[in-house]
Amino acid sequence: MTKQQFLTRLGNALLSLPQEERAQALNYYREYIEDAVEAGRTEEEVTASMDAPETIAAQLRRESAFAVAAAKPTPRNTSRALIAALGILSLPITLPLGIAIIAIAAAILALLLSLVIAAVAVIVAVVVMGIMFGLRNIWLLGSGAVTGGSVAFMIGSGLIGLALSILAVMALVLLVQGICRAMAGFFRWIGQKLAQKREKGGETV
Amino acid sequence: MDPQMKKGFLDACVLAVVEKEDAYGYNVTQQTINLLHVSESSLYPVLRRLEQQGCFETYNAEHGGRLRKYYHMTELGRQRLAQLRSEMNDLKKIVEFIMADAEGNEEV
Repeated sequence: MTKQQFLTRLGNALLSLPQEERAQALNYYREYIEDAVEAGRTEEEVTASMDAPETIAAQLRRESAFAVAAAKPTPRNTSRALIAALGILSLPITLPLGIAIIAIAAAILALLLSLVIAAVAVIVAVVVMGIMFGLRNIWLLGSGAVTGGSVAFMIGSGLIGLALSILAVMALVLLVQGICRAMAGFFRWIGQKLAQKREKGGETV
Repeated sequence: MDPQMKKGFLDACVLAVVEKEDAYGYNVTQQTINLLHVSESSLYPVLRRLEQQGCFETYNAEHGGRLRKYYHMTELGRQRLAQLRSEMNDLKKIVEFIMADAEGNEEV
């Protein structure tokens, strides 16, 4: 195929990437084909010797900031995805939209974090109550004020409360990871939507 | 060669090429594909990743009326290459072991 055909196909396959990553890839391959032609080769021969644009695009998508953040939602990867999403929002027309999106995302994040904090507080309260309950009953047992059976029941239910608290903590960790993953997916979705909008606007390579 | 093995060597090859002198995409590729038999288009992800990791700086230079992007080795890139070279040394011993025949002579 010709250089233009190759670059057009590559450009289309990369629309879901942040604009900066997409532009850099297109620049690289444009230069590459031009250098090859300068070395005496034809456009057809060079493009035939390369992988198909769709294959190249698939690998670049895998290694892009969004994909890395979605697969491994560490705080560092999520913030890189955020920066890439902001890159997409670098067009002046979309700046107010970008501010609105960031504000909404920040609000949602704040809400989720406050829910997490509230849940942690509840868990801590339950654990503390359970411990105090258990200690009180051991003391009562020692002073002979209650029967062994009812104390065993109290201690048993205290232990169950502790076990539930541990399970709740584990669920909380999974929840936070899920939140990071959802945020990364959200930014990728924004990127895709905006990229599709750009395509309809008739951007050429 | 096993694809995973090729991938492992690709980083080291690209770093070695740029260490010798600043290079642009086309000539890095031409030097590497003779050895590693990968497709011409597969060098870009490697160059980009090494640049992102801080092993390369890039600059543009004019060439024949257009701009060409050059890759330049950083201190971090040098360290990375040194690390890979020491891994290659271990690999060399393994290769020599495999290549020697039962009598302990080197097979041609």
